Amino acid sequence: MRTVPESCDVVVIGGGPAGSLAATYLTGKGYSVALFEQQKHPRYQVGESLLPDIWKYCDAAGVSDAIASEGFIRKAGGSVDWNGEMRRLSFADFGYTRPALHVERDRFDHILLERARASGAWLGEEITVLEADLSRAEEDESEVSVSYRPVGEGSASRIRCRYVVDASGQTGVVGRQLGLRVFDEGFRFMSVWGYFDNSSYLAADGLIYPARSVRQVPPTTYVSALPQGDGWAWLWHIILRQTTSIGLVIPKAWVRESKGSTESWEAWYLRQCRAMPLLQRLLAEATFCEGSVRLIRNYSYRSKQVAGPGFFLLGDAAGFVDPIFSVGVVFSMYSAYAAAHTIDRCLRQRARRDEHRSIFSSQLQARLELSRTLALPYYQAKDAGHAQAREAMGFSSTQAQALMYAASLLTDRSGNFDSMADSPEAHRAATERVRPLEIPPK
Amino acid sequence: MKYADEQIFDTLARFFAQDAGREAAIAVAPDTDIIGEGLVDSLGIFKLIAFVEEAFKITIEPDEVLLENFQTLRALRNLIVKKLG
Repeated sequence: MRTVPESCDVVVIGGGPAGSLAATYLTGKGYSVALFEQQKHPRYQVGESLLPDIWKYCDAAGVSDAIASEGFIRKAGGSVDWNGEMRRLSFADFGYTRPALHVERDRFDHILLERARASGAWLGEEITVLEADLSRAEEDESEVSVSYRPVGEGSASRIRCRYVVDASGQTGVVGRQLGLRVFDEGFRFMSVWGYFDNSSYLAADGLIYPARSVRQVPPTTYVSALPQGDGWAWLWHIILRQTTSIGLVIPKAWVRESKGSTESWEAWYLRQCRAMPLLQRLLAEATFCEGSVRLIRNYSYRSKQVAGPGFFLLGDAAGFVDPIFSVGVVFSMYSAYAAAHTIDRCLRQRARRDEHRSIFSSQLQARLELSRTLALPYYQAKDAGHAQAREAMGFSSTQAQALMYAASLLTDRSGNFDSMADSPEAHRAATERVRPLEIPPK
Repeated sequence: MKYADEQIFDTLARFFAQDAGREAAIAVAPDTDIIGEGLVDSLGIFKLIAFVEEAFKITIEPDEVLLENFQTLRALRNLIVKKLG
């Protein structure tokens, strides 16, 4: 392993999209960056559906060409089966000219990490960050020290920096150390997913196509409510280049009721998949990939604070809601951009560090609150974050609002949107563009 | 320093002319909804705050980052004039 530097301007924890982009943006502004990643890329990651909003962040990082030339699956939109109502939407109808993607995240994330390396960031893989000492953060010369340990080695070392950026995902190194993570008691979910080879898929025309057509006829992401889930539980079907990702998002209470103590997760998962008639049609020719079932036990959470003296939390380390609208990676990229901008401002204008950080925090928290609001099946308008979320909605373009409204119409969550925005134009645009989906019988 | 409205609008228009990713200067009228039209998005708002602070030598406080201050160039002009006292 190359020698870890003794000091740098910014330490980034985590080499997912948030960490890699933050590192790239910061080196672009002339700062020295050391990025620590616990694993060795390429490494497995779930979350394969990406919205077309990713491109502006990729442009800003100079990585769009590398992603475009990788040949990921371009998706046309979404097909949604929500309690018997079949509807679909196409991104092109909302004025998007660049594609949404279905990506193998090991490959996608690796491209972003390599971009960070090429930009001049120091990259240390297979290094675990233990904690950050923030006691002298933002004194005259802000000084933070971060302790780390190479995987498999016994002794820890320290690196000095001026800011630490926590992009460590669900691990949340700094957020946990400071006790900032708050679990959403009304919204306790888990997710169980696996992979199938040779699954058919739904295209934007509402027809079912075999896996081999995926280059000729762009797929949609197929989402369906689970019948027993009362609008809370749902599944995703995301076709990739070699395989198809199929996952369930379910309330923990329901899992406790439906899964016997001796039943394996794989058996339970396959039983849920078999109970979905349309999914079974898509899987008629498919083979389950043995041993591919994985799970995450703990949704959802947010952070009491997403920035403070010497630190910033990004992406999943800041908060995680329901993945239903595929906003996770976009939020990660957004937070990377916002943090790089804010760190630059803080270092240039020491006297105004608190104000810059406060703008970062309120913008980020408002975005998280907006995601939470749209994803909660029964949103409580009296929730504390409502005003914040409304403000974030107001700061969105009519096109973006129309897409959010359309997504909420598809999943019967439009009441949430109605409580958030007063934009007849966005309503009209969304209502016109959500189309009924009629799948021909077998 | 005091600015005539014309100067303020001209200066703000420079932001849209130089904003990265835009091919050419975009004519933005004082009452164009720059948020709704997507001329300033979630990234642009950070850049716009920094631009206004530097161009007019003012500081924008966190509680002033509201839609009512940023939706149009006229709203921004009102904020700038208020801050310049």
